[in-house]
Amino acid sequence: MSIQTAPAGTGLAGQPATTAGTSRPRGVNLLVLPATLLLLLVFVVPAILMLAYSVTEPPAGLHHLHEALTAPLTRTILLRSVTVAAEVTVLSLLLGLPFAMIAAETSAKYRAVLLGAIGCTLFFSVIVRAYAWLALLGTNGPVTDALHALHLGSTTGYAHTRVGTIIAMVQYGVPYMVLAIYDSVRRIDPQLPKAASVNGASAFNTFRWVRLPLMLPGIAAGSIIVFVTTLGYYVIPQVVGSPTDMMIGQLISQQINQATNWGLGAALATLLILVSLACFGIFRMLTRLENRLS
Amino acid sequence: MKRQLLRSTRIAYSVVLILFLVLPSLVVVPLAFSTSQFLQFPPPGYSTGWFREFFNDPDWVGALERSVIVAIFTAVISVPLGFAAAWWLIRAPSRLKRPLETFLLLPMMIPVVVFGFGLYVLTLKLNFQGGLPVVVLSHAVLATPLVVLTLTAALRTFDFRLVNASRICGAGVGRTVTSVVLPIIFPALGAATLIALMTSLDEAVIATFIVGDTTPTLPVAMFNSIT
Repeated sequence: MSIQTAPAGTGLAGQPATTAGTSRPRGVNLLVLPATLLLLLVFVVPAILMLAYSVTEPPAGLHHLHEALTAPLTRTILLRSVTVAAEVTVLSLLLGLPFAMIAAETSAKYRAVLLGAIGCTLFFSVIVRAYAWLALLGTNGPVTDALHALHLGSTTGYAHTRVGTIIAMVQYGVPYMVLAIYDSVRRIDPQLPKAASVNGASAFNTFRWVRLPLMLPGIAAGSIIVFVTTLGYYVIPQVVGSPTDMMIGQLISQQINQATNWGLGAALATLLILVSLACFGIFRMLTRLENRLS
Repeated sequence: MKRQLLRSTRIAYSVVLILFLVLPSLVVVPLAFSTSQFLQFPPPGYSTGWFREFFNDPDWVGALERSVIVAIFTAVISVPLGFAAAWWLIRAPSRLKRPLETFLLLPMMIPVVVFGFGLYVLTLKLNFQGGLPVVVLSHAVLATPLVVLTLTAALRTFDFRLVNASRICGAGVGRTVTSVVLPIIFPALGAATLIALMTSLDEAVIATFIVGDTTPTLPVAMFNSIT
């Protein structure tokens, strides 16, 4: 396609992509209706019902929310979930950031290989991955044996431990982190780091004062995606983690299926929704602020 | 010399990270041909026994069939809906655009455990044994944001004057869509369909809530046999 009509900077959030001489059939406004209806009926209604359950299940009122926040068991699990999610986020960032920078600066051919491999992993089944980690991290698994041979780590392996959960979650999170950061790295004007080094800045200073600030939007986006996903994840901690080291997603499921304590389950789910939405809200505010500043 | 070293370090790092992301998942391939009863890697011997067992067991084959059907219906619902919504997001000059865009991406921000729980409560409340159709609808909800993201990215570089040209030449809306729009965005449409299929095929949590005991899909059956 050689003809470009979309004006530069026209995005979802930008101005309407109007082109001179384009008539717009009236039906266009109906196009968004089916998807909106589907989400309203199948997603929003259940979500609201569940939010309501957190206060209407007997004993009605704020009892369940209070219990979720103060009972020793739920408090431990909430804190643990936040800690694990933070650890996974930091590790994914430390592993993903250099990778995204390498991908942005390398030759087009090698970049296609790197990003292609990252894209591929997004299609791997999560259940299959969790199962694979169980085999690798088990008592006689190759990872355990290798670590043991190096006199590192425990002989019993990391299957059904928190370390196992973190390793598997990092493997899940890194691709999202890389793609988010890469998106902001590739927008950096290559002249800027060059200008810094021509003016005598060391490699470290160029990174610290030129590249890093320009990558911050991608770092924030990637971190929020990984943090929120890890916080409420169910499958990986359930398969790879330990039953005595539960995370909030597992606790919610347990309250519904085994304890049939719907009030507490709904209260925990409400907290999880609030935290997730707050994270995305903060992120949107930050990006809007950034757009205004630049 | 220093530059050479830096270059090799970079390549080594990126290769090691990719191996960390890809290799562990491939471990299941040799495991599938294992002769062992237990989860043992590397396997003590190789055979196709597990495959024979899988395909001779009506429970597993049934789960596989259900999963494939659910995934196909998920794509059939979410791809057209997501395509229409993406078209609107790119074309409609509306104040609603921004809030609706956030709204359409909402299912990505809410943990599936919470969504599954809500849907489970709703079906119980309505006394509605939805079964697999409810699973399809829930998977379509999960897939729609991904389809919208994929297709808005594609439509952003789409030349909408081609639509005008086609209309001026006398083609109807249907003809314009099938012979002008779809051929051009075909790759993105294919990607969106693939994403929708994968989203459904790998989803175990909501399906466990809705059909876990009666008609499990393949990921539900796998999940139950692992944990």
